[in-house]
Amino acid sequence: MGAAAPLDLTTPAGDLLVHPRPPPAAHFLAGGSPEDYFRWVLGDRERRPPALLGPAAPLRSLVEVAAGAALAFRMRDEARVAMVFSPPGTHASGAWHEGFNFAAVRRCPLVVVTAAPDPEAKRAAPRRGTRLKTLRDVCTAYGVAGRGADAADVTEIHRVASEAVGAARRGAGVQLLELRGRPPADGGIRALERRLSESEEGALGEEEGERVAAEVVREVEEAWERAVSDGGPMRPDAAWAGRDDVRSMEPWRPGAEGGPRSLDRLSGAGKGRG
Amino acid sequence: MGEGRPDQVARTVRREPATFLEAVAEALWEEMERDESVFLLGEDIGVYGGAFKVTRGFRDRFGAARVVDTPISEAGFTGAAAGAAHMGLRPVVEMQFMDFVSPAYDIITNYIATSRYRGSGPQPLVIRGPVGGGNRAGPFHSQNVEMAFFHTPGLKIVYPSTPSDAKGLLKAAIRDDAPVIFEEHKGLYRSPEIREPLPDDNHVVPIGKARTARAGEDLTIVTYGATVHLSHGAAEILSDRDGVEVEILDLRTLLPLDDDAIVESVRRTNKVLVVHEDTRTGGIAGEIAARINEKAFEWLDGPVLRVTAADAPIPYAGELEDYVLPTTDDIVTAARYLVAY
Repeated sequence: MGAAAPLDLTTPAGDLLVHPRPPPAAHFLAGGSPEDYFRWVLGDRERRPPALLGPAAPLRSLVEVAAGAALAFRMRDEARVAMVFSPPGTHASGAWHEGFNFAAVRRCPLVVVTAAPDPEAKRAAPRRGTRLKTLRDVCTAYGVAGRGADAADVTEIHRVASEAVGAARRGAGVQLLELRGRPPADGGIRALERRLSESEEGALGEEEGERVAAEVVREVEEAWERAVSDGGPMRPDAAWAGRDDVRSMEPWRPGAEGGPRSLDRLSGAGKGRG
Repeated sequence: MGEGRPDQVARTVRREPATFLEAVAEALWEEMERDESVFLLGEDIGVYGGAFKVTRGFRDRFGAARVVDTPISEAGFTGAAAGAAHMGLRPVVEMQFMDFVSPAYDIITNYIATSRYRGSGPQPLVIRGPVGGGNRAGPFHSQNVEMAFFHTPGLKIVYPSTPSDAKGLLKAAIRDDAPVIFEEHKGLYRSPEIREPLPDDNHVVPIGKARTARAGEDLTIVTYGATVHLSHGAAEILSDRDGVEVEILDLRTLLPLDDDAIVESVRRTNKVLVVHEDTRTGGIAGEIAARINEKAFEWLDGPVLRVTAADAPIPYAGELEDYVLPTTDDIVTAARYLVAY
């Protein structure tokens, strides 16, 4: 989320974040509440902050879709930027390259955030997805700008992402932000804490940290209770997006108009054998 | 009349009859004039005017930003259309030949079709292009693609047979909030036999409604696209030589199917022949037969029969292509079998 922090996600007609999964942090960054998040996950489509697009999948298609969103910004002469999180290994797909190339050709205001090849990774996609040591070399092929940042350093990510977002907003076209190494389990928070402790403001004390954590847990639990208090948004029609013809072709269902054995349907049937 | 308009979008303002291709072009032109959110993407649709010249002159009128020449990357620009649709635009994607939609199958079926269902909002976009055989164009430029997408909830599929319907249905497709696959049989594009005056720019044909193309009481032919015209030829032969009056139901929309229109016709004629140019196995005729079986079984006085292309890719050799595709003679023969059943 450090990469997304430079985006303007809370004002109308602000920037756009395209993400593969529904991360709560993205919701909060975009102004959504914990209750909004739970309701959205349960099927209430109105609760997704407009600055978020996702979960978007298949993963290989994310860059194409984000490129199109950025194209819309450019067509309307808006100073908006789209950022897409492209998971490790997806650069090996044709769709990734088609989307990246399209964005490059059309000079779309797009920032693609992805992970550098990782020879130590357990999963094959980041380990053996390319012979390149850095995906910034790909940028040369497409004529776009590439930047790198340490995946374990959220402040560096923020700084470099700010540069990329600024360049995209100024009309420099698509930007690649490659995160090197693996983020620690705490998402870089320890690095942030270390820097804060070295600053004049200082880090949170242990007691204060526990108080904040307890507050977060309480708020999340209350949000969940509110989200399901009225039965939740999990209505059947949420499954078929308001279409009313999903079940209409099943004449055997009780209440269906004229089942196959109904007298109404048999009367006057067939010229020959009715 | 029609000053400043390219010829292919000036027929109606000149009060001249239009071809199928001109009807498609008029619909695009008028919708782009009506709604600034409508824009076009495709290979060589801008400077070159499109492989079939549907969009000739569009770039001069609407600008390069709204007539987007894309790289040769069907998946890439279809995915980009999806992103633009999310942002409130109404993209119309041209596949140079609909055979080339297959690289975009992933983004269409996995992403675009599912968008509303998984909470990412509507996808108001159209994917249109030429389909169909009979042009000696071989297996890569002759396919009908409807059944590649018919099984995918969330899509609509439109396949008009006349210039008037092409114009009205394409306008409806562009205004629809659902993604629409729009098939245009290239054999109809410049066919002089089907030229007709087009309604004005308020002409919108609702998606999902079939039309009775010919009234009759002895047999129903359910069909769409170019085989509507083959069926008309067969109906005339059957009327003249056999005294059999065929009803022709032009589906116009394949997804959703107009079940009511099909059942209503079956109830009157009691015999059904389904005709399409797409191949036989897994073709839409099978689904139509199943629905008639479910909803109108008691009214049938014979089996639901199919006249389709053979289960083969379209061959390069002309004689072989003629053998593979359905013909008027096939329809006449099947109809006589069914009438005598």
